[in-house]
Amino acid sequence: MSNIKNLTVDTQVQDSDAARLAKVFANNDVTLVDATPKTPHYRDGKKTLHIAPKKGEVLDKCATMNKKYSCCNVHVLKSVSNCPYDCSYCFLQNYLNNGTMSVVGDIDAMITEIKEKLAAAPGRQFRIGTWELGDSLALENETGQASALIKEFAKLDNGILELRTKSDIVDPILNLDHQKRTVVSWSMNPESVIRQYEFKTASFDKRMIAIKKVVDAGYLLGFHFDPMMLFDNWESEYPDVIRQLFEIVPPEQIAWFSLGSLRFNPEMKKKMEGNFPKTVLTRPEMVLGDDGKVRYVKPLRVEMYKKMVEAIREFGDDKVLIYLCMERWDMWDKVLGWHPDSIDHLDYLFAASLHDRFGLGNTPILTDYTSAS
Amino acid sequence: MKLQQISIKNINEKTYNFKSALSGCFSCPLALKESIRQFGILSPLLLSKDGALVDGFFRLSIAKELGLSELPVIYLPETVSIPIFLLHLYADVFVQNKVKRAQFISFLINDLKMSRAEVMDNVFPVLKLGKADKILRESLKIAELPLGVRTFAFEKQFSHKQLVLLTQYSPLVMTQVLDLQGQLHLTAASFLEYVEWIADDLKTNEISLETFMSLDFMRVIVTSYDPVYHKTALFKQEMYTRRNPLLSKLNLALTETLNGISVDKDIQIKWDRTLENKYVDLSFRTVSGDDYQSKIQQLNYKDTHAGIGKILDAL
Repeated sequence: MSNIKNLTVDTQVQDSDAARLAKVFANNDVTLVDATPKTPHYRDGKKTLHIAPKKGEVLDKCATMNKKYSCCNVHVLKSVSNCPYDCSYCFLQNYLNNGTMSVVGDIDAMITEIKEKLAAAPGRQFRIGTWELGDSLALENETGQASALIKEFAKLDNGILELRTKSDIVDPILNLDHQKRTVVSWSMNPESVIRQYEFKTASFDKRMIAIKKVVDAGYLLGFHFDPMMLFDNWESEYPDVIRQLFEIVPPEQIAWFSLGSLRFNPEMKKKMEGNFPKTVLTRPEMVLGDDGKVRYVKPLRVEMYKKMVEAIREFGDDKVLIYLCMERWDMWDKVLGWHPDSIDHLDYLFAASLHDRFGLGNTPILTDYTSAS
Repeated sequence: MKLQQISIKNINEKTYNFKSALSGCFSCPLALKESIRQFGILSPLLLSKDGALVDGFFRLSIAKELGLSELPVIYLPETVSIPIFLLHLYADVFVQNKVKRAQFISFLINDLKMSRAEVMDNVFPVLKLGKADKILRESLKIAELPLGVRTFAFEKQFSHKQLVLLTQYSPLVMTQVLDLQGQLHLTAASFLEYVEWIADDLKTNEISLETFMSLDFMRVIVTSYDPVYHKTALFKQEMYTRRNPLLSKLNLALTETLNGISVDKDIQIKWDRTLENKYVDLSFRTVSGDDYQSKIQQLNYKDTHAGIGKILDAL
């Protein structure tokens, strides 16, 4: 609770496990409230942790999904809002209306909604992440939310939970019965990038120690090299991260790698420069894409992704699923030599990979995916 | 409230002179001067209880210029809140123009020492702003923009959002771009764009504004007698190249590939210059069956195939 100055709990969830755990961490110094406290600035909001009730639907599709790009069709559980970390490229700087850091305490209500959604399409394997508006594990010591979700997902037939983090907070989840239905993912970057742009997150070494613990606990793992950054030594530092990962993670335990490059909407540029006056992230040559975001020029992105794919093949194996985030089909062709036929097709390929490599779910049928949308 | 005639010397014009704080945004109408010269001051000046001028600053300055010694005035009752009175007097202006609005908010806080809470509670509702602390903070920053920039923004009717953007740039860069008015065609949008381009350029290339202004193309822009549209085009072209060195180089290479194709000039071969989309657009206008046949044949030449293939591969 070092960075959290205030803890508030909505009266509707004051008896939830998350509220109870948070109270222990705060030595009972908790304020009961009837609504989420308002914090205009996202950074000020990081000092308050609010345990909130579930309001409306919390299961949705990834907000960045865009039909002009080959998206992975992951679903997101809006269970966290804002994050104790302070990455200079984070889109939350320009996104949150209320900066108060909040965690949904109603695990049962969230699981009920998830079960209803999954039951409506029993032939599909749903990947559900909790990282859209925050870090999946950063507040685990205070709230225990991820642990509760892991236990619930272990009982589901067609749902995979993806926790995505830049933290090293894994101890609370190590002894849980996860049934391989949770993929613990790390957002990865070389140490130089972490130090320069991912403030307050776990260092590279700490992440590696946490990764090893999660490997030993038998979880499946995912690695997201997104956003990749261009900097002087990127060509050696990124492959070196891959090399170090494969030294401690067996390829058979890696569910997927994703690759994506730094991108942000033009409006966010000034926010980043205002919030991080020394940042150099906004300086490189960038182009505006059809999704309204600027990104590095395509030939540079091709080069970056190719380098990573080569490293994954060299240090790991060729069975690990690699996908590109927010890139077009022709980028897939250039980097991977193939492209999915559609977003639904890629969703199916995820299910096929989870089934074939890890025995998760029934044999997927393509039409279960393509006929749904 | 009764009409009185008092000595011009007894009028304190400092306390509430927010128009001078809004210098450049209010100008004395010439017709008013002529009217006062011919008929004297027809509508009385408004003073606070303690004799501070609240309304009639232009009338007072003209009266002084014309050497009038006494003026008709009305003292506002003590119960009238002068800031709120001023607010209502100019509310329409403030709602319409965001520069004046920002400066008035700054005047209330910095000159009249109203608290932020008082401004948000009593002034914002009249300005239809709601109680937004963010707008208050932004307005105070807008009011600190260099005078020339404020005047330009006032003339070009900048939106609040555009003004907030301006507050994030160096005053030096903004003033420099303003100095280029007359050399470059400046609108609200292009002013913002050029300020951003130059500010980015200084950071990316780690050069001073002085060095930037001494670049060859900037010297041409500043010193040549070319028409403004020509200089504006040159500026945009040069800045595009500086901002997009790799894209410029690659597009140039693709253009050279295209130049190697022997097709009529009226067959247009285009591609997405951002290189994000992999496609080539082909188009031509035809005037007869024979012409059509000839163009189709040209598109089927081996070197046309090869050239277009090369472009697509590069994309």
